[in-house]
Amino acid sequence: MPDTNSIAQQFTGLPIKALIGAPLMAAAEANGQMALEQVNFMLNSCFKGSAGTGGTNGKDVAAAGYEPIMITLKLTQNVIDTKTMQNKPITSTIEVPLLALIPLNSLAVDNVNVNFNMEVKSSSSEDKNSSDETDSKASGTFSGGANYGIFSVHVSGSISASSIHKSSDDKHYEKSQTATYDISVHAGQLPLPPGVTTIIQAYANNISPIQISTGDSK
Amino acid sequence: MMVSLLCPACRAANILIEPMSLMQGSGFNCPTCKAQIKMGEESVPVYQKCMQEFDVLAQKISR
Repeated sequence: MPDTNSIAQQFTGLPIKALIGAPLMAAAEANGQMALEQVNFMLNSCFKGSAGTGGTNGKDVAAAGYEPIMITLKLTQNVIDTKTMQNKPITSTIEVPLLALIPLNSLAVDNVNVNFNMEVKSSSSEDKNSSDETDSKASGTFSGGANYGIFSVHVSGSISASSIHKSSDDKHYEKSQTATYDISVHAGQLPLPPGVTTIIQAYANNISPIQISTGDSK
Repeated sequence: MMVSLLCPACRAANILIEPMSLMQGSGFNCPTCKAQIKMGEESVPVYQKCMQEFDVLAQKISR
């Protein structure tokens, strides 16, 4: 018979903490690494060090601050001339921070599923079959006769016996253990952190067109 | 992936910009005032370099 204690013992000693905690810790570390990479990208590619620092890395730059790299965009608007009542395109230039034109996304692990299933099965069965059948066989014949004058006697006989003994004993014991450990990690795009969003929004809100002083655009 | 930029002309709507098309000289219109923005030629190399670095970062992260 399966011992329930022994089945329960199968679960003791399992490193549940490691099984569940390790993937979560790995996901958190991956998130941190990804965030760091993105911050480095923003600081190195979208900003330049302040004038005189001569670079984008180092304590000097951090102390002096970062200056955004600006991109020049041409803005074309249709304006109606009040004198001629004609539609006239006017081209202006605006400077937009490079940061505002990069499809930045906050890529991070947003879903971690840890599924741990363990199944211990134990079953036993015992079949005993026993049958006794006696069928003994033995055979013999005899015959005899006698004559007494006009009388005659004849005697004959037979005897038989057989014996069969059957016995079967079946024992069946089955034990199976199943353990599955599934970890699914999904990395998706999260909304930009409020700090980055605020910076981009501040830059975007301060875009002011500057009209080009060329001949035909006036 | 699109980038949205507040329209500098009317400030009433966002202009949706596709970075690669912007880099190639395409113009994008404001849905409200129909103003169009294009990238200045002098900024193309800077933007191109940054987008290349961004692609490297995206590939690195996706690995």
